[in-house]
Amino acid sequence: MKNKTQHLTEEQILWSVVSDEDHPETIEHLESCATCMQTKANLMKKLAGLSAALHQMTPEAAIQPLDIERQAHQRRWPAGIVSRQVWQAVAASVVLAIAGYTGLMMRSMPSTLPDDSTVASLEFLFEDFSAHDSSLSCSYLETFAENEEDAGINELLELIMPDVNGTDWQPANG
Amino acid sequence: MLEKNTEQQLELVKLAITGDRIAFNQLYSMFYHGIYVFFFTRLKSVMDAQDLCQETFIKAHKKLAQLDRPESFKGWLFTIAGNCLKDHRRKERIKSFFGFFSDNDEGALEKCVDEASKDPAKQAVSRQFWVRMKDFEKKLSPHEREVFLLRFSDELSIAEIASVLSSTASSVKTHLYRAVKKFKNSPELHEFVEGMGDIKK
Ligand SMILES: [Zn+2]
Repeated sequence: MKNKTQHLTEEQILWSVVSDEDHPETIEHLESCATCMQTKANLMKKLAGLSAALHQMTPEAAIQPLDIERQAHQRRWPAGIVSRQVWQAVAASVVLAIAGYTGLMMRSMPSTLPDDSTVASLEFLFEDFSAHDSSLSCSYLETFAENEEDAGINELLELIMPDVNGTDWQPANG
Repeated sequence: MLEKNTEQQLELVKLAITGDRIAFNQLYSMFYHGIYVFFFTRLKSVMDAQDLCQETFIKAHKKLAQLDRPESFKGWLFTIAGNCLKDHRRKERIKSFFGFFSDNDEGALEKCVDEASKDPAKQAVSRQFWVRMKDFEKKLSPHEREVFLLRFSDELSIAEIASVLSSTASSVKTHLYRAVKKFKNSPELHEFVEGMGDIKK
């Protein structure tokens, strides 16, 4: 235990800002030392200032009426014809074919972007693939790839190998 | 700031779970700004933030019956928002992989800032703030950045952050400690936020 005549270290002050419940001796020192309490208060004030700034500097946006009927980003799968897995396999093949084609085009003609119909097809497929709702599962941190160059490839792999056992996906009219 | 009156909020959540549409609309009004700020601070795009806000509440409405602990509504809502963000980022990554340009570049932020206020002085302050914020965020790892924003922008508790990130309280605290230490060592941002109280939108 730290000598009560010594002030808290930077580390102890930081821990007390994060969460003081785990450090009773720090709380005890803070209660009896105005200097350390002031150091902590200064940092807390700056963090509160940042918090206020983040809200204040966010452009205002009028609250929009909630459109509950809208099925955001969720296109329906044709129902009763084939299973979801079959649709995914077909869509995955198309994505791979377009990926290969687009990759070749981009390598041979770096300044040429895919035409509008290719863009529309891809956007449609991406929307369908991400139509599953992962709201109740997993951390969204997993997509923060450190290596941005690999991220696109990783995401494509994730898309063409979706979790077919996802519990939230619903087929049309299902 | 998110809703402080937790008792009223809890009652509304319970009513909304039973299918009360008015109660859900009230929750929407209460949490709209917080969820909008959540998306804007990550994406720096008003349009995307508004769209994803709608998507978050639509999904929340659809899944509300599955919420077994009404008192955890806030953390649950941010988890849905986080997953909407994840899906959005996935689409953006795929688009950029194929060479499509995203709107979420610096030009888009400039546009947001310019549209937010007609006053050139306020625009300059806002632009300066986001540039400094961006520089600070670059010092953080992705995990540190998310934990820091969830704590100090979205005002979630350690337990709520752990729930949103499917993590442990201990891991959240460790990342938060590192992020706060980096914040402490970012005087350029301190100078800026210390004057924030004087700026009115
Ligand atoms: Zn002391």
